[in-house]
Amino acid sequence: MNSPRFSVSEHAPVSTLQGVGIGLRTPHYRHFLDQKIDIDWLEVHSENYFAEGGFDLFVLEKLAQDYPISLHGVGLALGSANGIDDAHVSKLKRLVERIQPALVSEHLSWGSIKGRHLNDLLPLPLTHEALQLMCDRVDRLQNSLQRSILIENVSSYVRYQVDQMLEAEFLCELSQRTGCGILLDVNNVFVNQFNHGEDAQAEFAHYRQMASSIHEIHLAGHTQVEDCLIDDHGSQVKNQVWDLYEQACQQISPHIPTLIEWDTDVPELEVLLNEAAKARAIQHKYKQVSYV
Amino acid sequence: MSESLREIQEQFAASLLTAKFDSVLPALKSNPLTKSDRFSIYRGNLLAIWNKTLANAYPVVQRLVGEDFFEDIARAYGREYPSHSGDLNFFGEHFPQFLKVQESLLAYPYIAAVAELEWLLHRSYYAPSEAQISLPQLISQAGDSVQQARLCFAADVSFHKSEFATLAIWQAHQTTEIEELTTPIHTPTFGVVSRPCWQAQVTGLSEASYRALEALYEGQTLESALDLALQIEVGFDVGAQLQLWFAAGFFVGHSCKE
Repeated sequence: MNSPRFSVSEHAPVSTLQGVGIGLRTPHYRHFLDQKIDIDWLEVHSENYFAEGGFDLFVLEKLAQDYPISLHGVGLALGSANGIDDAHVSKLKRLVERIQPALVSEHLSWGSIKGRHLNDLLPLPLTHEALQLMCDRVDRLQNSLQRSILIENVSSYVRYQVDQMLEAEFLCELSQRTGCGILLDVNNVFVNQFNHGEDAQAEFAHYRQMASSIHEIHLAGHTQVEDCLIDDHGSQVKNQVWDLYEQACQQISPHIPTLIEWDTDVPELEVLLNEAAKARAIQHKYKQVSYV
Repeated sequence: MSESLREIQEQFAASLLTAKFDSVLPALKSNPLTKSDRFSIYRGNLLAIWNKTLANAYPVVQRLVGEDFFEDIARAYGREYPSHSGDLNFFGEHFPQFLKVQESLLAYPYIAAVAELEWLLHRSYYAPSEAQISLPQLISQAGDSVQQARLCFAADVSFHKSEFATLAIWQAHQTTEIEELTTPIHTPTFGVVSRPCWQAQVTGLSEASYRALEALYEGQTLESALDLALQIEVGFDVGAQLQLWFAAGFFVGHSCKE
């Protein structure tokens, strides 16, 4: 199919992150303000800092002086056929200019129709039509922000009859056409494998070919409800997901900055740091192997 | 653009908003692995995000009506007042007026009034940050013309007036254990919301103090505003009220309005 020309070369992805980060959450503000925490970088949900002022923004601006920051958007709903909100893009642009983050990311999802935002990361039909739409949107966003962004694979509970490709194929093609980077959520790959009988190894085979475009990995907990895994980011990373992360380090790269995501029932900071240490140890193990 | 993607998304959304699952079924793959209704997870997410967002902005209303009832009204609100943005900070904007017309709450009109106060606090928390001025700074800067000063309010300041004891109700719900309400519920409230040290707060005032501040907000001079207060309340304590206003961080400058 014909692809429009995107401005890939203008915004080539540049990753300045290394090691392991954690999500900055309100209960931990005080710890970070009081002392330097042993973590390589921090990630926040962009929308939580869209206000023109207030304590949250004050904390983020202060911590951005000491830690590299990754801005992770959850509300742009890039794949919505109805369009995306220009005001939202403007707020993101303002935040990017204020914080000067190392990375800016969004999701491979949709979330709004005419007159209503659904405020969820809804799975896209994996079709050429949706791919074309995402290419347009990513290109527009990168041009607005004047920088490259990352797009993350999402967990899903349904798949569509019209699907024409694997999510990994979709995301890799999107990256190739627009020059956007990939944020690989290993927990989401696992959740989708379980929920839909998909083959994580087949997904990884595609991601391996785009290893140099993967600039961040997410690890998170999930919960099993009946015969379904729910990606709720409310617990420790499960053993099977750690196993998959090891494979990612081995097969794709051990050098990709990795985030411990924890959004609900946020635990003591120590718990997050322990999870981060575990991820760091796995990275280290495969970094050593890669030098042999 | 082909209509198919748009149609799928519109069907998906319509199905999320109704109890009927059928409308989206043709677009979804049947899943041999599951007997559970996985689509309903998205329906649950939608309600959860409405409930959580409103509970964040209206914690006292939630305590007043109870979590179960609050979830019911969150569901009804979310259907009637769609979110229009991926930024949920404004989602609860119409909640007080929604509560006002709920038949089940008509006997409790003070709940909507408390919601009005909570929304002002919510907006104050996210308002632009500005350096506040102190009373000594004003006196030092304005010198002999301090009486003619017109004060400029911080962006986080807003006015709250109610025929109910909204501030007393709000204060009684700031601790884990709900404190006993000693103020009669029909006691009028005059309050000003501000954010002196990052945390939004509401300062309870007399009617005279409140109306003087309103006059200042409208651009009248300090002298005119204080005269108004003295007309309303003979014993109005100018010194104490000025201390109170400046301590609450209401002002960021002076003579900003002609």
